[in-house]
Amino acid sequence: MSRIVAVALCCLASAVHAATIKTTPLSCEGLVHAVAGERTLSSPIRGGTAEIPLAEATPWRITLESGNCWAAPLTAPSGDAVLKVWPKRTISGEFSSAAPSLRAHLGSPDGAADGIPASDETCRVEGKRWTCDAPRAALDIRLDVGGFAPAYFWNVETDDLGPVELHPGASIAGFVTRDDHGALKDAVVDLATEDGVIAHTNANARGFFQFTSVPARMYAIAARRPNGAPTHQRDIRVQAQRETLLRRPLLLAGFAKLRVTMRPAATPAGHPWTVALFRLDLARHAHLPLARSSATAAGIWERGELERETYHFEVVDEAGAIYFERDLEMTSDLAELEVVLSTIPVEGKIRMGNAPLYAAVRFEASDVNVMMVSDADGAFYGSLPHEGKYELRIYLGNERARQLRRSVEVKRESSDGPALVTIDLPSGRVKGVVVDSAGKPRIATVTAARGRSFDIGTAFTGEDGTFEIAGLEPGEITLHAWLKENWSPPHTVQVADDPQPVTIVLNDPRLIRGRVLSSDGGGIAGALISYFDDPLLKKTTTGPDGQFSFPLSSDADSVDLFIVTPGFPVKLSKLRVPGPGESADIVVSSRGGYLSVSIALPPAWPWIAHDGVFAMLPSLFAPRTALGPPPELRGDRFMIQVEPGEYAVCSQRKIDQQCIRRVVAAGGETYVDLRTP
Amino acid sequence: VKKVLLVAALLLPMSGLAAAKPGWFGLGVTLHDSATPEHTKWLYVRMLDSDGPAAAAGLHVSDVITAINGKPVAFATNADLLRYFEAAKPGMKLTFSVVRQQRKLAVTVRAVPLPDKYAQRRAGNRRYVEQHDQ
Repeated sequence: MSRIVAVALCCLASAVHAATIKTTPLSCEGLVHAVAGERTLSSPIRGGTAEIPLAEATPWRITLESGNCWAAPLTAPSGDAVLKVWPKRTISGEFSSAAPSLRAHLGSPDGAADGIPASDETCRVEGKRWTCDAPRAALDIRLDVGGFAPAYFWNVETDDLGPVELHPGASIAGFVTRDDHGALKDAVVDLATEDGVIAHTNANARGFFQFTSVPARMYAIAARRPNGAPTHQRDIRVQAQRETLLRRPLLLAGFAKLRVTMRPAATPAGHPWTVALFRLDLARHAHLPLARSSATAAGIWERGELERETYHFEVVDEAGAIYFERDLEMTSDLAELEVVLSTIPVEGKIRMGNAPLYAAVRFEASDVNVMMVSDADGAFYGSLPHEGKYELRIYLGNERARQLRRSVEVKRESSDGPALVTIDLPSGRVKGVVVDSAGKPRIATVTAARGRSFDIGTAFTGEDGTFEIAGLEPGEITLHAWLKENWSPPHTVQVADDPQPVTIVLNDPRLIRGRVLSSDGGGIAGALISYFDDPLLKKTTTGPDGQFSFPLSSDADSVDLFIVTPGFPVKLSKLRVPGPGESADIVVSSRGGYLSVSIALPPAWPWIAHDGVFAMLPSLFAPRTALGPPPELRGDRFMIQVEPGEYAVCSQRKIDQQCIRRVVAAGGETYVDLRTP
Repeated sequence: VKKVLLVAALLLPMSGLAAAKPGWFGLGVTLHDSATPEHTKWLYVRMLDSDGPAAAAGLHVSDVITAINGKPVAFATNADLLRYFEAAKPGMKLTFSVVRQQRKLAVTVRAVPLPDKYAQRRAGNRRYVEQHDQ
């Protein structure tokens, strides 16, 4: 004959480590039951021990019936067993509506050593009021109420849970965790259908979330930290009147840390370096400021809690001059970089004609952006990180801010001497006046272009409409004047030391009207139209019946445009400018094919050309709200649905031998890989 | 640049600063006019705050709003549009008549208290709209 010994360890909640009857200061009163099939054997507790003789070697379910102690039921084989007990308490609360039945699932909060085993309690309900037996210990509690979503309570130590809101219908619950098991902070969970996000909530400190009263259907759930990369679970089926508990937690990648060490530790002027960190938003082709602070005196800068994404960081001096910049993909817990900031002293002179010039000179290279200011003698001093070719922006110091662009080669003549930079601006000038169509002088901006250099000089007109751009090389240049969105036609003029004034007229723009239609002739609302009003790219949208209108400053016969509409393929088209009073209909195909492009990082966005119209790849992304990768990015390729036809993928806004030509068929996918030369 | 700034201006100021927090819908719209004799007007949903009530209610970027609470969109200027949304109180419901591509639907959005992160930028937005709304 074997026997089972139920050992009652009457203990305080904090004494959960108690394991033997001998150390137990308290006794429980009541009965211990052993149940196997239809057989029930009971024994009173004496001195903390109950002995029940068992005749068969079969699993027995051991329960406690006590007025002062609580124990989770235990299933044990024959032989000695220990039934852990806690002082008993009653938890209670009041539902927002009458509940037909209630079971409470009790568990121990995470991290509680030797906590209570998970167990279910059948509770008592009278109308809205409910009570349950429970151990005197910190508890996680799930209340399962018939016909309602379960209600959750975490780390409960009080007896009265107060009002409990009940939500009818189906629900979804789950957990968000970090793959490095770190603490969650501000995790946001989105619930989405194919129509988009329909609800969102915040996970609690335990990572738990719940959506209640949701219709029965398929869902996707995404979890993210604010502005962080999301993680998804899709194809979640929710059934009516039931809670769907996600089997797997939504796993957020742990934060990463960036540590940058600068050598030398101080700027040429002896100040600490400043590091500026940006998030790189591929979709918007933008740098979003994230942090900007000084490094330590030892030249060390750190930043934690970084999502594992692509960043851009800059090392700048106390004047804001950029000495180093690069993009950085955070893929590991810790990225350590050593940035060697070699600086060379620079001494320079700037003159126009033969006269010294007071000006600010900005030296720009792919990784450098440094400003130096000349004195009345045209002399300037500073430092640059390296020798080589720099693009210059020269801001002339007079009442009408003007800037010129040049390039210069910076080179030291000896290893211990400064680099001598002489900027000799020619004495060539252009001048004139900007007026509107009524001949009235206008305050406007005038830019000078030569060849492919769109902006070699810029000036603002005064109230009398006059302007002058000096420091230009001899020859022919093209001037544009612009005010807000209105650009003048190009004016070609000769640069001279004593030029003839030119009059630039800002014409009233033409109003272009039309409709964007689907192939069945219906108007498409909400289409985003991007159109080139040389030299600018402008945008407008269609109204409820597909109607659009936009002002066109250019006097060309046609206008290049592309149309992005959710649900329709992208259209690139050259639109003939309609006559006065006419309307232009643009029909968008109902079926397209995918033009898929893989690009190298950092993004070198290609131009997509069709029908003589060029558009930079990201400008073809559908409008969206969320930050992070656009929906068009699938795996390693950007997939744009376009109208069927022949397309060219080019590195510049022109068709040349290096463009890759592809035909996109309806329903098909055409792939272009730009990651390798 | 101007376009982007204008959008930001209209996104944030579903707002207003007062003793109590003003209402906020979490959407950014631009005002459009057909430039025809009928001068049909509409709002284009250019931005949605993913944590805001408009997104939760089912508005989409690119939606075209033709009427609010049954009244056709008739704002004379962006400043009028701004003032209308600035006057919203938390709890106020707006039902937008929406055209999404070729489908008509109605979306009801209930204003919530303006998040603190948007309150500071409101004055700048109004100033921008007033300067450019000429």
